Amino acid sequence: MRPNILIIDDDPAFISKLRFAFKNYLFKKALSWQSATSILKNNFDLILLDLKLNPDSDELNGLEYIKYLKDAHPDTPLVVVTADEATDTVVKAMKEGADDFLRKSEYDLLTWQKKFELLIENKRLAKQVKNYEQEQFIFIGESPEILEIKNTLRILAENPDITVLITGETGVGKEVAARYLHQQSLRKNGPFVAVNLSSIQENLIESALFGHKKGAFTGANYEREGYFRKANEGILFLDEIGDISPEIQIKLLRFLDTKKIQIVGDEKDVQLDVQIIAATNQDLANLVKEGKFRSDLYFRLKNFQIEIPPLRTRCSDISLLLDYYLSKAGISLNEDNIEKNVIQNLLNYHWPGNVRELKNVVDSILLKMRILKKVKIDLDCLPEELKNYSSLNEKELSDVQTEQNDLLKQQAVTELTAIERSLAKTFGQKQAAGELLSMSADQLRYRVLKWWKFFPKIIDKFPNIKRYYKLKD
Amino acid sequence: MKCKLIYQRVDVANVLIKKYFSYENILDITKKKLDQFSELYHLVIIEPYKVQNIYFTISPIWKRHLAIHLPETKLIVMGFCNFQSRNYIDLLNLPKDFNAYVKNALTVSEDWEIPIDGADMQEYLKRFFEGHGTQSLISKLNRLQTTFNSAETLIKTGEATFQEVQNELLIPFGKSEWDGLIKRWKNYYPYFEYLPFYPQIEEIDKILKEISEFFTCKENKLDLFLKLNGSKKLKKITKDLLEIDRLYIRPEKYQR
Repeated sequence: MRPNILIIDDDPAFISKLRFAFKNYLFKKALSWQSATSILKNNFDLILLDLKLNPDSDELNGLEYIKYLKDAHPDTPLVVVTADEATDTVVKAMKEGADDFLRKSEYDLLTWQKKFELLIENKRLAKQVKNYEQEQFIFIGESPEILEIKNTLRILAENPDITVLITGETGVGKEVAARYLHQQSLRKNGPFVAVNLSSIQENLIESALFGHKKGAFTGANYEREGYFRKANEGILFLDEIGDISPEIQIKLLRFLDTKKIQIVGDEKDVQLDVQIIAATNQDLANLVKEGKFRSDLYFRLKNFQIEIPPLRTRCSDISLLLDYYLSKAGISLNEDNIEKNVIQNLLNYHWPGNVRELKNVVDSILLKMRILKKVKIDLDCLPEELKNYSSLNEKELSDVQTEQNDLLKQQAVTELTAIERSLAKTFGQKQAAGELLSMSADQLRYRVLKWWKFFPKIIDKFPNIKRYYKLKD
Repeated sequence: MKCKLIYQRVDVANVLIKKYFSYENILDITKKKLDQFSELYHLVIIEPYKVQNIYFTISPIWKRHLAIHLPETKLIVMGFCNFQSRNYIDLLNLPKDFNAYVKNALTVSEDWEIPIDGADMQEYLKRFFEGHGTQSLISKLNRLQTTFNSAETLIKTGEATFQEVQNELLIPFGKSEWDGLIKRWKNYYPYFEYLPFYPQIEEIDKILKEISEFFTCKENKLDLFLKLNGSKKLKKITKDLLEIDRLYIRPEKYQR
């Protein structure tokens, strides 16, 4: 697909020349700022802005549009183009937010082409990284329990200094929940540093957490920053908190009280601004009883505790998660793509490894599909533990499925009704409708399409949704 | 005392000058190059200078030029203005002892006023550079350079044939722009002959003729185009003219 470039320049001859020379690009032109504003709602891979849009004036009026363009398209590279030779013009443009600068007097087709390619590629990579990061930690779950947890996390996020303890079985999504909190928090622009304390050797844990000076101990050949300092002005997620030694527990407690740490090999205290979110799958109260965990630290941590329930107790989330991970490979969770008995097995499985296990199973299924050259997912694609799984007899299975289906349908109707009313109120403006429901337009769309996939006929009851999302029978 | 003199061949001042100065010191330095001035002690310019039947003051441009290259030179301007200073002589009020007058004159590096008699050449040449709106000389050259560069690159990389770049670039965007540029050049060229940067103008003129040949030729256009390297040549012309503009015509524009 050819990259799409918006060029805002009052010289039609220049635009025509660029169009001919840069055959691998699509150019959308705007000969004035007024005409540019009417096409700004489209997406572009690159924007070229002439700094002197009024030929009768020497003023660089394009400078004032830079900020406006960056606000409207923050992720799109903006290159200012000018015939002006003065260096301070470059400085002004970059200060206003331009990403790069080209002079017409220094026009060279190959140089400009390379610059366009680089900027567009950087944009694509940045988007990929952002998507990847976001996808890794999307908190998927619509069960009442998870919705309540999300709500709690949103409230906790308003208090950027409180310590939070997240508990739950292995693989249930503790880090995902912590990252969700980070995304809602005032600290969202700060770092999120995740540490699995059980994966670090005991004799190295202190320097890993607090850093060390060069020469602090044998083998300390360089200075180390440590996780605490890396997380300054952000969040430090300490997973497997139950595994830390008493010595580290004392240092952690000291930090929670004073907001200070001591770097190994240095006597000076270092003041830091770090929010601690701890997590464990162990019973800390029991560890306290056994004398393995300090009670004062335990009470400090459990002030705000969130328990994430295991996946098997929230069946509606199983189908959501399966659908999410399968859809990334372009496969919908329905009988067109997956054998009925396989769907049953997946939905009924007790998932002892929770979300992590579910994701791994989906990956394994997709791989098996390719190896066995299957067009449809059948029992052969399942791992052994799922192949023969059946916790209920057929009738019971059928009843459970019907009950699950009814619950899901009920959930669908509730959500779709809310979306339908919001769309009616905002005259079909999806962004505004989303805002009414505290969602983004993308999240709204996701829900609509999800329910349409599960219950296509239900959408007939929601004419606004059908109309504004162009859902056909 | 050595003295070089610019003077009008046919003018009322001619007689006065010939009587005032001895012949061996008088030299017509129109179109001469700077290296001939290595032994210059002072330069006398009689103004206003007649160019294309218009009288011009050209001495400020000479003053600027000498200040850059021969800063110790003394420039004496002679004319018919009722004005007397250490560097301006009223032709109707000639000093008795010219050598003494020159001794007392200021060098070109120092600040002194020159009365404008007739049209100001510097102001006149601003029009050469500025044009109207997007028609400034440098904008024209930049547009031509863009056209040539795109055409050359597309042919070299095989992305377009010569016929295609002719039809899409050189004819619609090159020819008319070029014609406009040459017309302006020809109009102003005679004025450059009496100015100190004329040698650079001569060089530019040669290059312009080469490019003109491409536009006017009917046969072997592709060969000519490939040999021409028009984009590079246009860049050089732009650079040289910008330098002239910066030094002599609109120095205030570049002082930011």
